[in-house]
Amino acid sequence: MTRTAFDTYHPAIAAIYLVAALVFTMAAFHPVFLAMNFIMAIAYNIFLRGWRPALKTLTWQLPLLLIITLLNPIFSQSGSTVLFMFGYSAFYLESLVYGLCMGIMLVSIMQWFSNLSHILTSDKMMQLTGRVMPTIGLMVTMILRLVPQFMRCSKSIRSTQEFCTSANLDNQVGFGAQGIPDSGTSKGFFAKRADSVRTYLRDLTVLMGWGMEDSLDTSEAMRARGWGAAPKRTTYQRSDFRARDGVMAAIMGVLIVISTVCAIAACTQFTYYPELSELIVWWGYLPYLLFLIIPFILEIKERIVWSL
Amino acid sequence: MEPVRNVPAIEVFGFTFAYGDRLILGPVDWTVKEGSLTLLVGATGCGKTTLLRNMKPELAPTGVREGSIRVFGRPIEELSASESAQTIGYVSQSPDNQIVCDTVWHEMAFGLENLAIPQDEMHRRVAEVAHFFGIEPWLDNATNELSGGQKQLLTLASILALRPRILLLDEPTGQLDPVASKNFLHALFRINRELGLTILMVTHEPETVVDYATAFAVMKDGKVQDRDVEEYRREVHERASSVDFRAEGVCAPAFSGEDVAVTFKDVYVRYKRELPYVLRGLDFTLKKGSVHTLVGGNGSGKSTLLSTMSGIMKIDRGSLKNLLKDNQALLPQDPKSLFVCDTAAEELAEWQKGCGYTDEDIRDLAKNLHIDHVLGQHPYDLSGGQQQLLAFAKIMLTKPALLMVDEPTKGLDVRSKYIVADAICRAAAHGTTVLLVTHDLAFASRVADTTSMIFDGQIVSTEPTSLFFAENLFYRPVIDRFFVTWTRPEMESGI
Repeated sequence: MTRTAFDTYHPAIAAIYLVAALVFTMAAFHPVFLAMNFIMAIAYNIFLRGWRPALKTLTWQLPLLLIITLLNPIFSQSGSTVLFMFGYSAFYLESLVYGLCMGIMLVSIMQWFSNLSHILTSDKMMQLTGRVMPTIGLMVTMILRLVPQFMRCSKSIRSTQEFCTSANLDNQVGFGAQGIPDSGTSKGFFAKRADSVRTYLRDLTVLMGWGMEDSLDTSEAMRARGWGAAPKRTTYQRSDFRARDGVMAAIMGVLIVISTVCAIAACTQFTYYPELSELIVWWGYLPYLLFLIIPFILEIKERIVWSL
Repeated sequence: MEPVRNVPAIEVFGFTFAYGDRLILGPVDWTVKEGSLTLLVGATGCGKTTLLRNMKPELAPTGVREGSIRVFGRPIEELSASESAQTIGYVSQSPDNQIVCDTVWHEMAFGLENLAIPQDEMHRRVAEVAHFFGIEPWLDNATNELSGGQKQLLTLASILALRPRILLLDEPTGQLDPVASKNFLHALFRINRELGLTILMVTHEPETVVDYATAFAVMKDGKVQDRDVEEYRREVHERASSVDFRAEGVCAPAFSGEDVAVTFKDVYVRYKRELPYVLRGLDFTLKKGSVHTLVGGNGSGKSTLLSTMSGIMKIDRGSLKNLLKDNQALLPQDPKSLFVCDTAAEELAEWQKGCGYTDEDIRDLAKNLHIDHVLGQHPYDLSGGQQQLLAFAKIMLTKPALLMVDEPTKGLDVRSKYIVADAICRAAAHGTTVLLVTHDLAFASRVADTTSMIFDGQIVSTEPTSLFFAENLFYRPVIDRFFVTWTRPEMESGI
């Protein structure tokens, strides 16, 4: 897990930032705002996850963006600048640009969620929700533990059966040839399919049984350690909202407010249909840009402090 | 300082327990003294766990109870949830299902949060206990990434943070390697003597703790009988000095054949691309017809080697040649992975069609392993040791040419161990190649002809078993009853 500069602040700071970034992505439907957001979201994703995984995600997200861009002119035939005619239907430039912006917005949202999952790790989520909703917070951490455990059990049942080759599973009724090379079995295609479906159903039943058994054990272990003993649980984690967290929150708050005002102004002035408004050079984009590069500023500051 | 006071901590009066009309326990009349470290031993499936769980109200199994159990003079039914948590702590054999939270610090704080302990005090208690057990370096780790030894220590620590007065332990070292197990027992010894906690421990390996124990009891036919601990200690020491653990007594001649069954060459294995390698350039040869043991610490890669050999794990680099892969069987660490049927009997009959063994074979083996009386039950309802035996029986019925077993003796009493050892040796005599992964060094030293040690993802040594154990400082067999019985059957008749 990459350590981020947000780790040095209270988790609320990261939460405020990420929620604001997501809201801006969805609400500020303006080409320049979207473009800035798109670039910074991807840049931050590359920073958090590294080049390879980030680019790997883009290999399916960018084609998706392209498809949305091209689909919009097909379904929404409005605008004033005809690019070309396809039979009786016209392709409009405005519609294409609108599609592009929609695609960018969608991909940016996905990128921000990916960033969010890397910054707001489960323990930070716990710290945020723990005080307000301790039981829900605990439930989340238990699920986080149970899901991988469940997957492990499932794999273990499957592979134990599959690799017990001395049992000659190929000749068994109710068992398909799961992954074992077929040698000399005379079962037809459908019989095999039916067998493998049966196998999977049975595995599922076994897994459910095992899962139930385990969760009973866990619930007993919880009660043995006083679960439900006190009407209100306390939490271990201190909520240390310090002065520097307050300063950071204030700076972000100011930038968010100014950016919001600018974004509203820009969005009301800009129209996609019937004709694209002209984009001009404007100081009002700067506060939003500043908001978007906050994580990078924090990272750079962190590194300078470290190397001093 | 002798902390044992003549005050009873746990009193059991005419206690019986039954599932329906099937009597499991009792009547038990027994007293555990305050400040004592009491050991309770007994055969596999005799009801030790049932008795222990009945001493903790939240864990008491559903069934018909008669008689009473008192803790510090109070019937346990009267304890409130919070009193129970702060009076009796329970540690079971498998730490996995006892861990509730995803991080170590949260696990330690869980019980304290439940009791609504104020934050400052909670921090102090967690800090104190974490420091005592040396947990501090991994306090922020995720619980599912811990080794078996760490998990068990964590379980104990998070219970101690609640400051109970009695600690109940059910085979707590069953899944620990010999070194981790010693460390754990030593921690128990310290909390017993330094903090004066009353400890009641169910175990199949009393030899390893007898030096720490202040009381000793045996469970037989549903009843508990106290024995003189001094006398028992003398017995154990005498037994240990009577047998030289270098003595021969293994079932197959060392390095029997020269034919190779399995070869690993420079093998690298990891669970995920981002994770470090578990096996790092491992070379290993398994000779045909040999009984080969693999020993090593918790998390050293023993089980990974087994699953790699069986083909479950894919190798990243290197080569693996398994000539017997079409007729192999793996008994995994958790026997539950093998159970897919509704009763133990169906379980044993499951592979009958493909393998062609008869109903008689099933009956004979079940009788031999002493699980014939539980064949009608659901596999999950069996005791830990019985599940182990059932899984072993299921595998043995298929008569594999390559038998891979992971910790076959956990939860087993001397008698069952003896039968398992016997079954393995018989199979080996019929040409089966056996690879055995175990922490039970006494078992390994008697059954295997060759022993390998795995460390840091590599095989660091492969030697004939007797030579291997003669050279070690810590990896030495405990001279337990199994060891003596196997070496000199005439010395012990009570199995």
